[in-house]
Order: sequence, then C-alpha cells, then structure tokens
Amino acid sequence: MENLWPEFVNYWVEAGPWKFLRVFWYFLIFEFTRYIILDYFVAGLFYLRRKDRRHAWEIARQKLFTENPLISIIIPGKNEGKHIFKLVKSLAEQTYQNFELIVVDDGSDDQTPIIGKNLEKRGLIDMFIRNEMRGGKASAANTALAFTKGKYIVHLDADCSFDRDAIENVVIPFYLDEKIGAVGGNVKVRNYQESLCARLQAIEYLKTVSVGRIITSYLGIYKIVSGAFGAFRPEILKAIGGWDIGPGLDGDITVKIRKSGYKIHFEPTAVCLTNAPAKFKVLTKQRLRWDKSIIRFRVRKHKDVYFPHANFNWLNFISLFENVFYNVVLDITWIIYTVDVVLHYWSLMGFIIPMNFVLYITVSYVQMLSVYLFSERRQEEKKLWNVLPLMTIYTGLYLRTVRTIAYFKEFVLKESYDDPWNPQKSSRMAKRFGL
Amino acid sequence: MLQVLHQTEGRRYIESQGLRFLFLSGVADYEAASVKDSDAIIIGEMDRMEISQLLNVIRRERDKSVYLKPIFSVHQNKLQNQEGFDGFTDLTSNESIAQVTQKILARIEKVNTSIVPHDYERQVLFKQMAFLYTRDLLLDPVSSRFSKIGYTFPFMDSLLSGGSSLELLKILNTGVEKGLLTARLRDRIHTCNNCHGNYINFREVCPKCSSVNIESKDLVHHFKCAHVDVIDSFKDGDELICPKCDNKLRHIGIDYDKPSTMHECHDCHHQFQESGMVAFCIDCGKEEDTANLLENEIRSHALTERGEHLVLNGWEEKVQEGGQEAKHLSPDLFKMMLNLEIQRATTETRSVFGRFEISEIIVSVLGEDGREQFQKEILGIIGSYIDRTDLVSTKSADEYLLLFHDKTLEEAREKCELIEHNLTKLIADNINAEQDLITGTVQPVVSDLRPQDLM
Ligand SMILES: [Zn+2]
Ligand SMILES: [Zn+2]
Ligand SMILES: [Zn+2]
Repeated sequence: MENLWPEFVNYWVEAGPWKFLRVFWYFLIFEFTRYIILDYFVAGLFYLRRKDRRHAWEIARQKLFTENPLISIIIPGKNEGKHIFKLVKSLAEQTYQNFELIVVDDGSDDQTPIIGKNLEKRGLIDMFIRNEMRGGKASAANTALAFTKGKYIVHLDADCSFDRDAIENVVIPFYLDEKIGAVGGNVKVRNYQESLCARLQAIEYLKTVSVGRIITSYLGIYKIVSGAFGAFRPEILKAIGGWDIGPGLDGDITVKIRKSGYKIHFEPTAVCLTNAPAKFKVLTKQRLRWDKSIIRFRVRKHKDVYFPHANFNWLNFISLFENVFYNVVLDITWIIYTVDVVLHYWSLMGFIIPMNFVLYITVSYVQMLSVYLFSERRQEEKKLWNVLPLMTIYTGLYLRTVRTIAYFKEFVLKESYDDPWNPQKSSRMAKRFGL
Repeated sequence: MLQVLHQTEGRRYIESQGLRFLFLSGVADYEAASVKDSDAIIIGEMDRMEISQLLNVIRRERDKSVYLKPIFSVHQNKLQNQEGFDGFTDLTSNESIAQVTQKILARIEKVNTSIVPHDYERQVLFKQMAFLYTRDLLLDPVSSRFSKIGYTFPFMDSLLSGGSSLELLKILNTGVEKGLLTARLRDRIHTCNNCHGNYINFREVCPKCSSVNIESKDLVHHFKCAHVDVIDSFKDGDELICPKCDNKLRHIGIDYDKPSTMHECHDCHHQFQESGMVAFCIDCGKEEDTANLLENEIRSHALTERGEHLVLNGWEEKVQEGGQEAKHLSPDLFKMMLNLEIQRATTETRSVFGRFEISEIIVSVLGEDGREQFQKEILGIIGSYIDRTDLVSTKSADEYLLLFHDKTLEEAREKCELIEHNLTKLIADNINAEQDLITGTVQPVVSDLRPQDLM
C-alpha cells in the first residue's frame, strides 16, 4: 500500500513517542497544556455553571436598573477631537443612559479644543477640560477622576465604539460581587478587514484578550483592565491615588487595585471595538512599548508581590507570575529550546520545522474552536479562519521576536523611561524614583 | 476790518467780507426763509441740547440752500467735531470763515437736487453725500457717550431722530453697497439686540445657572505620581503637599505645573472651564448671551467718483438698483440648468462646472443654526465673485456647486481660486485652520457628462 503521508510525518511515527517528546518538549509542555488543556477545562466548567451565572446576572442587572446610579464616563487623550463626536453618538445609543461624560484634552495641538468646547456648549458632553500643557495619559485620567461625581467610573478610549449594552454590561459585575473593584471590557478589532496585519491581531485579541481573559478572570488571576474600556469603583481609585505614570498604566492600576484587596473581573459581554494598527511597522512600535512596560511594572515596580510579607496574596502572586512566566520565562525557555534543538538535532531540521508548523497550526484551529464557543459574534469571526495558519508565524516568530527585543532593551537599557509617549518632565521623575 | 451788525425784523445779521452771516442765539430765532437769505449761520452760546435741536431743524429742511448752509460756532470745543460745524469764530475776525463759506457756497451751487430719491432713507443718504461733497470731507465717526452706538456721525446725526443708531449704519451701508461711498473699518461695536444700545456690561457667569457667583481655581499636576486636582487639595499652610504621595511641591515646571484652570459655581456647584459670558444692557436691562449681541462695524466713509457724479447730476433711481444678491438656485433647478447646458454643449459653447467641498471637520463643529448661517455666508461670498450669468447651488453646508457660462476653464479656475482664497479667510476667522479645509475643482461641461455623476 502506498504511503500518503509526507516524509516528515512518517519519520516521527517511526521515531516513537519518547523521541517526539524530547524534540518537541517546548510545544508539549507549554503551548499544549496552556492553550488547549486549560482552555477546554475552563470552557467545560464555564458551560456547566452557565445557569447559575445567568440567574445571578439577571438579579444583578435588576439591581443596577433599580438603583440607576450615575456613571462617570471619562475620556482622557491627546488629539482625539476627531473621534469624540462619533463616540458621543455611539454612547447615545446605549441601553443605560444615566451617565456623565468627562473629556480631558491633554494638550492637543489640533482641532480638539474647539470641537470639545463646542460639544460641551451643545450639551453633548458634560465637562470638557483642556490642559494647555501636556501631562501624559495618567495625569489626564487623574484630572478627569478629580471631577467625577458618579457611583462608578468607566474609562474609555476616544477611538472606540460600543455595543448597545456595553456600558450596562461593564457595570453589572459590581452588583454580582461587592469585592469586585474593577471590570475589564472585551476589546475586539473593528478593522479586521483592512489588512492582514489587522486580521492577525483580531485573532490574537480573540484568543488572548477575549478567551485568555475569560479564563484568567475565572481563575481569579485576570491582570489587565484594558484602558480602552474598563469600569472602576471611584472610592478605590481615589484611595490608591488614581493612575501612575505610564506606559502600561492599565496593567499597573489593575495590580494596585488587586493589592488593595479587590477582585478584578473580565466581562466578555461588554464589547468594545477598536482599530488595530493596520501596518506591521506601527504594530511593532506599539508592541515594543507594551512589552517594555511588562518588565517595568511587573518585574520592577510591583516586585513586592513575589515575596512573602504581611499582605501576601497567592492570587496576586499567581496573577503576576503567570504573566511574567508566560512572557518572560517562556521567552527565555524558547531560546533555550531553539539552541537545544539546533545543537542536538541539526541534521533533523528538515523534519522538525514542518512538524512544528503542523503542530502549531493544528493548535490554532483547536484553539479557535474555543474562541468560537465563547464568542457572541460567531458568524462574523468565521471570516478570520482562513488566515489562521499564518498565526504560527505571527505569534511564534513575529511577536516573540518583538517581545525579546523589548525585554532586552528594558532589562538592560531601561529604555521605556525615554519613551516619547510621556512628556519629558514625567519620565525624568519616574526614572529618578524608580517607578 | 469792517463789521456791520444790524437787525432786521428782530434777527441779527453780521455783514463781513461781502457775506451775510445769520446770528442765532436760540432755537426760537430760527426761520427757514431768513436762513435761505443769508450766506452762512453763526451759532451763539447755547447748551448742547439746544444746539443739536437747532441743527436738527436746519438739516432736516428739504431745500439744499438751507440744509447745506455753512454753520459756524462761537465756541471751539469737542462739539465742533461731533456736530459737524464748518469752523468757529470769535466774531472779531471773520476772514477765515468767510473763505470757507465762499468755497462751500460755490459747491452747493453745483449740487443737483432736481431728481431726488423717493424714499426717506435714500434722501438721507443723498443729503449726507451732498454734505461730504460741499465740504470736501471724509465722514469720520466721532466717539461719543451721548450716542446709543457710542459714535456719532457729524451731520447725518441730525437727520435721524434719536441720532446715530443702527439705522444710520444701515443707510451708510446701502451707500457702500451701491458703490457711492468708500468704507474703512474703524471699530466693531456690539449692541443689545433688544434696544440696539451699546452700553453693555459683560459678566462672567456659570454656563449652567447663569450665576455670577463663580470662582476660578488652578489645577495642579504633580509629575512624579501623575496626581491632578484643584490647588486647594494640595495646600497645607503656605506649602503645597501632594495628597497622593505626600511629597512637597517645590518648583513649578520641575516637579509640578498648573495645566489649566477650573471654575466652580457657588450656587449650583457646577464645575467648568469655560465660563459663560452674559451681556447686560444698561439701557434696557436685558441680559443675554453674548452670541446674541448684534455686531456692527463702525467705518469712515468718503465719496466715490460715482457718488460725486450722483451729487452733481441727481439721483438716477434705476441705475442704482440691483445689488449683489447671491444668485443661488435650488439643487433641482441647478440640475436642470446643468442638464440643459450639457445638451447644449458643443465645441463653440463654453461652460464650466465647479465644485467646492468644505471639510467635514468644520461642518461638524457648527450647530444647526451655525451651519445655516455658515451656508449663507459662503453663498454670499461666492455670489459676490461670480457674474450675473453664473449659477450657484448648495445641497448641504459642506458642498457648493457652480456653473460658469461662457468662460474658459482658465477663467473659471481663476474665479474659483479667488473664491477659495476668500472662503479660506472666512473660515480662518472662525476656526484655527491649518490644513486644507476647502477643496475646489473645475471641469468643462461637455456633452457626455451626466448631471447625476456631478451632483
Ligand atoms: Zn438693550
Ligand atoms: Zn504626588
Ligand atoms: Zn451655577
């Protein structure tokens, strides 16, 4: 009988499981367990408890609408004027309407002040605060915070748009559990049809941002309330002094809330759409910044959570450790793996590389199936399935390379302090005080 | 110097330099016939009210030899400017006023009043023009707190009851529009939209409840911890201590700054950055938004050649009518005309289709009312640069269509550039524009065009 399998498959079938494990240890130990076993395990639990969850949700929702509290929506940013009118219109469509809109213009040098003042005059936004001097994203958010009157605070990016029930759904979790201090919204990519780059990010967001966060939230170790869409209890924000200097302030404030004893919740039904960078050049810049901030905040600034002390908390430890582990440790391990394979199995490369691809692509599809199970936009997201094979290159090579460069620069050079994202004056202070 | 002072039928005359000056010491002395018989008038000591009353009667007469009569005062003071006297005399030496009188009389002779306009406003305009001609004068507004609009216009002031007012400005404006008067901007005034008064007190108020009980406070940004709040929360005695991180703020610009100011209303506790501005009219007591005030320009004027021609040859009603109204059509009608033009298009006929698009950014900034006003202003500008045979239409505030008849593409383009230049100026007046906010395009009208593709 003729053998229809490619040669490399035949090779690994012949070689036996031990050799397979020896050569593909990285994939089997880390990727497979993390992304497949854990995902499906949680998906299973999630499914089993769906009735309880739905019931509790209904009660919480009724509580929200009975109390009808004022919600302060804050939108800090620079040069965002062109988005604000659309944003206001999108918010006018919300099912929950008792909110005030506070826009902080952080030293824009475009039409933003004119647009903002005009919208304020027309009553479309409640407060427009113009800071002539740019202070950075954290100070802009804190400026807004100082003037909020609402019972809950929702932090948005101006270039996002929202499902009609997004505001409602992002605050309902506060009624599920008193100990929930912040709720992260579900950020998805709006412009996934624009380019391959945007399409790959859409998949990445679905996998890590959506599913990843459902799982970490479920496990109690969810770590970043997205700056694009998150809700907070103001008393906690005020107690911890609001945001600290960025970049990476989203993750930072989440850790601070965690440290003060509150839970962080991810709410998949609070959907917000954002535009992802459509070009790899822009994406690379963005990711370098994000990845550097992981080192700066998780490894450096909040290093206390790794050591036993009075306020030590296992979930906080795991939450940060999981993040550091999957980003920093795995990265280093991957380099070790590459070296290991190159040194010991150089002659087998012709079999190893295609097999790795097959493994990763298979995992991509299996994983996408779990995305499918969790999603509320299944039909639309099916369009992404055809570029899935490329995800191996995107996450396995591209993102990993960017991340490695970022870590190197931050660990060795402490570069994020020189990021033009913050005004000079703030960065200098942050560097001096080791923030 | 020979001075003959004599009285005839209770009136006093001064004969000097071969001229006969009528001396008036009160309104009661006035009689049209005696003014007509004399060469000039000298006004004696009177209070301000009486002087203006007297000038009002003289200048409101219909006869040019009365209302244009040279008038001198025995006092040299500020009134001379405000009232438009021709000079002053201390009655001892009349040589200079005699010279002036002769010059003016010679010019009055030339004024042609055989054809006068029918309506009152144009009569006033004509009289003012005749005055400017006979005095060879520039009509210069003089600031005055007795005028409702803060300025008086000598001579013309006496023609209208209530003195200088928006009505007067309107009349002068008609003269400018008809090309009879030149105009140079001197000032902008804001007047009450109720009584047209210029005495307005501007108050900073809470935009929510209009209370004047508001207070402004600096915001402070502490760089190190990114904390921002009003300065009060940082104050600790004389020191500034950050409430978030307990650090002392030492040096503005180094460890902290004040990015902006917030106001708080003590009545309704609203917090805001832009306080409202309310105008309180002292004359009628009305309080209103400054945006509702009427803005008017105060300009100085001189006769144009055409104006002078009119003074010398009489008012020709029919030549003057037909101003610069924008000839704008409804989109449907425009489409029809465009269609006709396309059907008519041959190699000989030359028509050009033009289009202006205004950036959506500008239009989105304007409210509904603002948009309408904006649209009108743009049409006005376009209308003033196109010929009578050209057409313009608009569907929305951001799009304007033009049809140039019998023009080459080059000519049409030149016009469009001129229009674009002026539109840009209009927008720059309202908005801090930096990028291209207007796009203009032109294309020749040829037979295979389809109107639906253009509109
Ligand atoms: Zn008034
Ligand atoms: Zn501080
Ligand atoms: Zn108020």
